[in-house]
Amino acid sequence: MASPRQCLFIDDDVDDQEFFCDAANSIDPDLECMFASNGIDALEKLKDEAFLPDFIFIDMNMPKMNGKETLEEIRKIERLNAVSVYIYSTAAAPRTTQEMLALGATDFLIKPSSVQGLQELLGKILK
Amino acid sequence: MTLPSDESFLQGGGELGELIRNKNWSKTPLGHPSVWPQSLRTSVRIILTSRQPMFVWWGKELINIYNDAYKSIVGGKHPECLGQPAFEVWREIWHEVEPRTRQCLEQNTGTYDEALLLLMERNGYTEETYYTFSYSPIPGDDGKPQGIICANTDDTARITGERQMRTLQDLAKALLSLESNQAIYEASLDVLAQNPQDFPFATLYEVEESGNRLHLVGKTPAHLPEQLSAPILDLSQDAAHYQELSKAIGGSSIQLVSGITERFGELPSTFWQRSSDKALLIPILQSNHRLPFAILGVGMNPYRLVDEDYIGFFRLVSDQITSALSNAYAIKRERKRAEALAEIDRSKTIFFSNISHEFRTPLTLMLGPLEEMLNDPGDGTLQDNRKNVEITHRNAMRLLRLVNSLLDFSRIEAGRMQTIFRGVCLGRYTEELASSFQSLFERAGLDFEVKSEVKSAAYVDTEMWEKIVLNLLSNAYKYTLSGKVGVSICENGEFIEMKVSDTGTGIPADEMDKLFQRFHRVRNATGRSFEGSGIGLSLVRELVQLNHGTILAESELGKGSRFTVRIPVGRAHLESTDLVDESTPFDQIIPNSYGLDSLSLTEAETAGPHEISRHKSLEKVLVVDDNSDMRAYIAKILGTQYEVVIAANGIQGLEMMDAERPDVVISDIMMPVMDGIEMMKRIKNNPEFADTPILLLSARAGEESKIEGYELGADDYLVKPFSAKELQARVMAQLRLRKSRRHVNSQLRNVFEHAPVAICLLRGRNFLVEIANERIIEIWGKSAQAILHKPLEQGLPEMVPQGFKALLEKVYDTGETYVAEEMPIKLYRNGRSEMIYVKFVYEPLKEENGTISGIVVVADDITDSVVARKEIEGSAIRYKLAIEAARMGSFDWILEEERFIFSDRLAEIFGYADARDCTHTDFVSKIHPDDKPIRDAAVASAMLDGILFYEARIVWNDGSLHWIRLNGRAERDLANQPTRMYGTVLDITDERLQTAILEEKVYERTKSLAEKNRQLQESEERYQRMTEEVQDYAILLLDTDGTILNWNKGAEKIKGYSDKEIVGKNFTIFYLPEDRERQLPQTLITEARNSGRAIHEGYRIRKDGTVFWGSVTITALHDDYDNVIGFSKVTRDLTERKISEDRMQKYNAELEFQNRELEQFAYIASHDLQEPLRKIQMFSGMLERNLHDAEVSRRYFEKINSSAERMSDLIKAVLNYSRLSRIDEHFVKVNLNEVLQNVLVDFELLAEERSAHIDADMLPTVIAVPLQINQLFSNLIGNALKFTADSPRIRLSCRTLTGSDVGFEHNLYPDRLYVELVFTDNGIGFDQKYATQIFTIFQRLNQRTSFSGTGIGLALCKKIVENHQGFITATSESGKGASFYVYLPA
Repeated sequence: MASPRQCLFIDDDVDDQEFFCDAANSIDPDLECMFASNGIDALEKLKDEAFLPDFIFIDMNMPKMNGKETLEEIRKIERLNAVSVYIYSTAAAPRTTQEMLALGATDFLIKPSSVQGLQELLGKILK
Repeated sequence: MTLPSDESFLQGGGELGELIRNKNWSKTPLGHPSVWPQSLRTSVRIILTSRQPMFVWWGKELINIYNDAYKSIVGGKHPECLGQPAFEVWREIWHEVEPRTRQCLEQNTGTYDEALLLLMERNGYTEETYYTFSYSPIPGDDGKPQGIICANTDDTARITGERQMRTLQDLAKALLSLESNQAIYEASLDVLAQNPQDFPFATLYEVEESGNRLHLVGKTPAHLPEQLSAPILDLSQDAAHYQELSKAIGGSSIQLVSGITERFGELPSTFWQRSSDKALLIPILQSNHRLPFAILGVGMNPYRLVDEDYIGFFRLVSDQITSALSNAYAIKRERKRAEALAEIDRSKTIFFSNISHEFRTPLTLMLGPLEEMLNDPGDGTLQDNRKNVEITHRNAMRLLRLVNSLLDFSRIEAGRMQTIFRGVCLGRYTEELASSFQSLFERAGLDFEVKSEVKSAAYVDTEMWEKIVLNLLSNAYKYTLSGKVGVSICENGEFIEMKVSDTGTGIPADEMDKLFQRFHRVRNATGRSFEGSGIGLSLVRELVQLNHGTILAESELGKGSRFTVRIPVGRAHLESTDLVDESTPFDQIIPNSYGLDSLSLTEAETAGPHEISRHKSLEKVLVVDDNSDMRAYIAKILGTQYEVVIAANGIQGLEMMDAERPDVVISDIMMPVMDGIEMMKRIKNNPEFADTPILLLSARAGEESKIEGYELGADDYLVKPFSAKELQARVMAQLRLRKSRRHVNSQLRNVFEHAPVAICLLRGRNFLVEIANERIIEIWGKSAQAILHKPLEQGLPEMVPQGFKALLEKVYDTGETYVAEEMPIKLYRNGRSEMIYVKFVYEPLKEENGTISGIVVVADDITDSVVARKEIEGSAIRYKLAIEAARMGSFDWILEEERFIFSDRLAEIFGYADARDCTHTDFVSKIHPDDKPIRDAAVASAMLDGILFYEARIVWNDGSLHWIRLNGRAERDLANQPTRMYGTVLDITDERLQTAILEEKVYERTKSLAEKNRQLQESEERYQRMTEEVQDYAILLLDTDGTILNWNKGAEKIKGYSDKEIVGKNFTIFYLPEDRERQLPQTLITEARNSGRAIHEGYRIRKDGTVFWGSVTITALHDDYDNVIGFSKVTRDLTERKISEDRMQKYNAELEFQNRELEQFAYIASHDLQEPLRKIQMFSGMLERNLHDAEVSRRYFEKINSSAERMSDLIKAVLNYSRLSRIDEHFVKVNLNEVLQNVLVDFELLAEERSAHIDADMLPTVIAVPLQINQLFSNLIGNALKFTADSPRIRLSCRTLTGSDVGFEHNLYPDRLYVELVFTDNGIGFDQKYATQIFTIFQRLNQRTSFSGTGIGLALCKKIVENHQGFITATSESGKGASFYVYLPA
């Protein structure tokens, strides 16, 4: 069996971390969820060359370094080029969506407002 | 020709010299010059050598001899008038001339006249002329005056010029600051009316956009006949009649109309005796418009030639009116813009408060059950919890809908709604969307029919289409209580039509045109629920328009409504900029679950009034709320202690009042059918229920709405969200209060009823008759029903015209007692009007807090005693009359018998001490000889009509004078001979004396008035002289190259050059270098040359280099052949107006900025609002799965609770922030020490808990908005407390400094004084690089879990400080505390 997949979830909201972890593990119980509470924290974690997550999820609205800045920084790191990076936000203006995709986001996800919705969303991505 | 030596006095003298020499004088009375007397010769010599206009009149006939200079005065009469008698020459003004000649010749004294108006016929027409002249007598050889020599100055040009200048100047003054067209018209005509010489009549007509119709907007004189001043002129009706007018409008050129008298008849004369026969039609032009704005019609001075000069004057007049109108237009336009922006701003604020209002109801219902569950986790059964969770969930859904509508709103507002068109089969798609409503309608007992016959594809944004269908169907559901709702979709030519029809309540006709307006809600409409922010239909319309469609509403009140949406078939209409998504084949697009998901209308809102709990012996509470959850929640809270009855709206509430007679009413404000306010008014106006306490529940927070609630008469006011305990406490308090109030009231009533005087109690400012005892009702003479519990005005309408209402209002407003000792009152009692006298007191009724809530009237009917007294007074007057009579003497003179009978008093009056032997003659002889004729005339007159009356003086024996008045009658026989005279005589000496004194006084007063008049006249003359030179306008003439030819005082004043310095220079000197560079002066000259006129506003340079804002009109001047010979240029200094306009523009820019900011805010706010909501939903979803696990449930409940609380905080902040944008807040003096104290009290608990230490300097007083400053302090101190883990130390220091001393980069005025406030804490601080970021909205530096905060607080602070023209910044180091620096203008 291959080593379990890893994902990095960058969001300052611990509730969201909990939702995400619950839903993700209900789809792939082996998935390892790592958390960072803001961009700076995430970049710190990604400095460790041994850490190569399969997926990265970034919240838009965070203190200190917001989602956009974090995305830009992550896309500068060559070894992470193949990693799917998702923007994960409460709501989206079409302009922001376009901007994020242009900066190299794999997709722009809107936080669902039900457990079932979140499971369905993650199901498509993690399968 | 050589003259004989004795005729050498005729040498030289130009043309007249020649004429005189050649004239055959022998044929004139003067005879041959050789025989002329020496003095005539000398005089003729004088005039021939003088350059002044002069003449000599000589001899009896005053033969006229004049010089060259005088030719222009005699005008057309030259040369025939040489040698003519003066009488012939000046026939038309001889009446003026003759008296002066007589003075010269007969009295040998000269005359002097200054600027005398003479209507002279000098050039073939009668002309208005003004001359200053002196006639001097010339002595003949015998020393007596034989002739007259006269020197003249023609002042016509000066006088008429001054008059016209004055008109121009007055116009300038009168029009400068006017802002409405009508005011400009009126003021202009007022000024023109002051100059009736040049404006015998004037009319002003406004021209309609079409140019075919004109409306009269003013005229002078007021009695100008209608033929010349019809209210409306229709040029299309009678083109020939109005040909000059059409030319004036079409060609924008001045037109001369002649034959006025023939066409319109004689006109009323104003100044001239002759009526105007000509008129000018002067277009009042507007820049950048083909047609003139208005036409000024001016009747021409009949004594003046209408030449280019004169027309030039009228052109200047019209220029002034033009510039006033365009100024007013500019100001109006700016103001309109400002109003429009302010309106948008205002409606946004309303929207924000509405939306936060709507948030509160669901929040209460979420927080309430959660509080309950958290408070007793042990007892909660599974079932109870499930129900609570359901409520919570349902209300979270509702909140979500509201947030979504907020989001949609702000997107549309910001133009950020992007349409992505997809080809879709609208028929099938709509069918599927609508089908999700099927069960909803069925459950409500409504027929629901969906029909579709469409196969073609249409291009729409599917998400928007869903919203359109959803909104229309929810609307139909809301407003249809029975019957049917239908959706049909069909193809109609190039369109696909969707019709949503219902059999609902319909929309009143007068609401139809406002239906799609944002924020508009049909008031008190009958419906299921009344939720919404007032943007549903406006959103639908915007969405339809974004999809290139149209929407139409039809409705009939009571029968139903139908909405028709049309969308073009296919994609041909799409524009190249439209986004089209072709990725999905059109028949595969199906709706997602959006429709069902966001529509939770299924909750039973129709619950009729039924009681929830019956406890017969308990006090009864009526709960009125349209939200069934809220009803149930309140009933549950109160059900244990009270009997609770419920109603779903105001009407049901009133029914319950009648049926159940509750002890207290709890009501929501916003409800369908009848809102809480209306219901409350009706309850309070019903005397039976007026004392039932009403507790209003409102979602609208804020001090103002609380006050509003109390003003409307609510006894208490509770803001959602509220806690169960709070509600219980308030209800209990109201019931207790009611009980004691009832007790007091009944005692009071008792006292009133049995009082021996009339008493009533008038409540409120409309003076509702609350209590009135029998006595007062008896006085009023009305039935108790007609008067009780109604405004006094209604029951007793006759009090208003007699001034009692005003009196009551005065007492009510001032709080001063009014006492009337004896007031006559007219009343309609028992069907007729009666006058009664009343003694009464109006005593203001004061509440504990000092406010006045009514008036106590105590009255006593004193009619009987007054009438009795009046009677006594009446007899006193009669008594006085009798005494008066006693002072009269009486006489009876029987002529036939030659008997004269008289009273003693008569003899006394005539000065006889003992008059027994007096005869009639003795009396008559006493009459003053001068007054005898009066007496004789009176006697003669008495022979004709029998009435004898005269007043005359008599002289007593001691020589003293006395006045008598005789009143009598004369009897005559058939031959008209007097037989008898009798009557009375009164001594009126005193009376006469009084009159004489009075007359003396009048005389003196008249004299002093005359003196004043004279002084006034003098000062007027002085004023005239003073205003000779215009100061407000620079008026100059330019030649065709723009070289300055002349210069007036106004020009000197405005531009600073004297005429010597500037005449001969080119006018480009006034223009700014950059204007010169872009050829502005040349452009203006060219424009004036081509179109007759150029108007421009801009900065110009003065001599000293400073600039002013000039309004310039350049008008081309033409010669008779229409060649441009030069330009007139009128410049006005409008710098002040410009400054105020700039200020207005700045204000507009600020408003625009605020609006943009508000939009931005709405957008971001709705994002942030979604976060806690999403969590509530997530957690309640998780909770439902884990209800069996008490520990997990409890954790989730806590999570939900904290999210809901966070939501509540956010909404509060949203409201605060939106309030800040209000521009009408008042700046007052605010003592910052007091503000600090208030804030510290608010934080007392928190500060104690954290064992905080706060100290502050003495703070100053600043000019600020108190609420905002309070908020500023509250946020800064609150932050300091929040972001300090333990033992916070907060220090507030203060000093005053100038802007230049502020140590940060800022935008303050360097030389202005500021107050610096520094809030320093020892908290967690922040990294200095975030110093500016922290003030942006929704920017948090810390994870939410560690420190609470909405992300709005500091943004709020920044905005407040900026509102006060101040500056805020912060310094910090992570972990070492922070300092916030606030600078406010000192």
